[in-house]
Amino acid sequence: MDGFDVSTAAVAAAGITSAAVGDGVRTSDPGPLLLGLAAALPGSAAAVAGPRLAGRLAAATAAVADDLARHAAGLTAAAAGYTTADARVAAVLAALPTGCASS
Amino acid sequence: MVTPADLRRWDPTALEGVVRAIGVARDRLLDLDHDLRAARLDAWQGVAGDAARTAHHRIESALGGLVAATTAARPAVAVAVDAVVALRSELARVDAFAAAHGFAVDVEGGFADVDPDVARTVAERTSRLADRRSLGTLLQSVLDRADSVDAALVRDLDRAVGRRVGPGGSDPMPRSAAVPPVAALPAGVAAWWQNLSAAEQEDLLRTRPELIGNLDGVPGRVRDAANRARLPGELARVDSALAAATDRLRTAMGGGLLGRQEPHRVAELAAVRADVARRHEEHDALVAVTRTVADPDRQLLLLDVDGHAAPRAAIAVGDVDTADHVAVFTPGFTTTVAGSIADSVSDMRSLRQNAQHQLLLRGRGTESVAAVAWLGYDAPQWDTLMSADRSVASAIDARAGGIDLARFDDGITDARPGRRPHLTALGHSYGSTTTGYALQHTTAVDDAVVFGSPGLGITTLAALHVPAGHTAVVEAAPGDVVAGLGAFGTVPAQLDGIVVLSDRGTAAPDGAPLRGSFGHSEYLTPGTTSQFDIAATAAGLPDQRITGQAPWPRSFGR
Repeated sequence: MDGFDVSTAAVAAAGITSAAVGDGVRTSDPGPLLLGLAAALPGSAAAVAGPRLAGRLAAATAAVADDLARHAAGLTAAAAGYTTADARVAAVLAALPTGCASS
Repeated sequence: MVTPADLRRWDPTALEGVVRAIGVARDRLLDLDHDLRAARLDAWQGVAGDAARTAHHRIESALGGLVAATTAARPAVAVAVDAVVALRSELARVDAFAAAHGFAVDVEGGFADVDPDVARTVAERTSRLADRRSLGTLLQSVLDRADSVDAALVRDLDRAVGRRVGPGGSDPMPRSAAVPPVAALPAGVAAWWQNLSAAEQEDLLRTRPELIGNLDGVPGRVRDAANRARLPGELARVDSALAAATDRLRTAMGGGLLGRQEPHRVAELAAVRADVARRHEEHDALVAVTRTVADPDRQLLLLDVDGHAAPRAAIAVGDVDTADHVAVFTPGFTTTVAGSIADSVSDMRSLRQNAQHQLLLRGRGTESVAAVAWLGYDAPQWDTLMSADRSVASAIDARAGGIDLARFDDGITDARPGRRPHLTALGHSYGSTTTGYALQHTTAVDDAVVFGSPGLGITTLAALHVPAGHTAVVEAAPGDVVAGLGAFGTVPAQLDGIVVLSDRGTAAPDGAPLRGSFGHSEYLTPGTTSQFDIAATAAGLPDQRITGQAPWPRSFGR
């Protein structure tokens, strides 16, 4: 990757991982599990606190998942951009007269 | 405020389901957190690389917070599961106790008198009123603990968000882990303790021994270490208070002789004198405890010098965490920590030796015995004789002490999950009445022996949670006027189903001579038949006991 201090493969892989983690987080929201406290402890204050925490965890889960989706999209775009730029630079270098390319 | 109806609908099985599901979600989030941290962007130099790394770290942090919150929620709910199981069990005991006395718990926490005609005389009505008050105290205690459990869970859930998880997803307890669940039943305390890491346990023992030394459900060796660590500080504190009280007394006395025209000074002087006397008692109690636990093989399981009407202490001879057989002895009228702990522990040392000897003779010498002298309640004293609440003629101290004794017994067994000991409750005199009330609350006791007993607060053994055929009474020694009083319920020896143990001079099964005891206070004296019988019971050797006879047909007088 002459001309850039970046590994497009690493950036692309980070993008793929971020997307997968984001999907995984979205489907692993622990919030709904705490709704079970309301049924298990009727009449208790915990029956209110459980759903309250559930809401906070659901919001946090959605925020992390959304951030990861945006982050993955950015990394993917960056990797693609670097690949395209790399190809263009390679083409320019290939068109240069012999001797210039190695200078 | 939790009501009995609420508590009956609390579902520990459903709670366990929540714990398991949260654990699964937490493990999955941990895996995802690991994957995200493995996606490195270190080689990306320049402005774009810096921005990408910043975003990556911010999201890692947010995901870590989510993992931490989930991690914190799981043990908080897990602790509640144990507490709810214990609370429901305790409520069931209240129901049984109420039913045995002709009452029923209503949905709001009151009591319906389902058998009002049973009380015909003034004395019977007075007794039922006392039963009703006792039931109210018991039920309120359960509901108060339910509120505490509920409040602790709410606090931990509300604190869950914003926590941080340790490296590698280590599983920290909720912040309340460092604060013992003092309102929980012993089973809940035991579960809390067992869920702490070794480092957390050590830290708590080192920094806050006063929180765990008297906590039923914590292992005996830990309570012992905590209470021994407290002894010097307690003595210094009490001595400082004694010096201050003595100074106040000197100042109060400095005004010269008091006249009738100075009633406020008379009252003030009396209060200061009472304070000095109390501080002296606390000092003497601490000195007695310090001397008694200096002997080898002792465990200081309870030390509470100023939280009640009188100092309290419990000392074991042997290891209650590992012994195959544990006996808990409750002495009675006029006993105090300062004046009685040494003798009571000496009695337990002798009893333990006798029990170990009998086990050895029966080829069971590998089994171990521990015996506890429990002075953990406000035993009536001579100076409270005329008190309406604290007289030896009143069951109030015994009822209150019985609740604490039941918790103590529960704590010994709950601290040993999967390897509970053979537990024997021993009660002498008014201490047997306290033991009788305790046995109406705890299911931890396998055998019970009472001696010199004025009654167990019952008219039928069915009221006790002791297996049938495992409650015994030593027959009254000559000259013991207390043993036949029947001041608190039926005379024990007349209870249907009770085992009567001999107190007469005879020979032990191995031929060793045994002598009869005399009067009210020789039942635990070495060499007596009664001590032999009590030791055989504590050792789990009921067949070795020498049985006696009830003083008259059991149907007599009822």
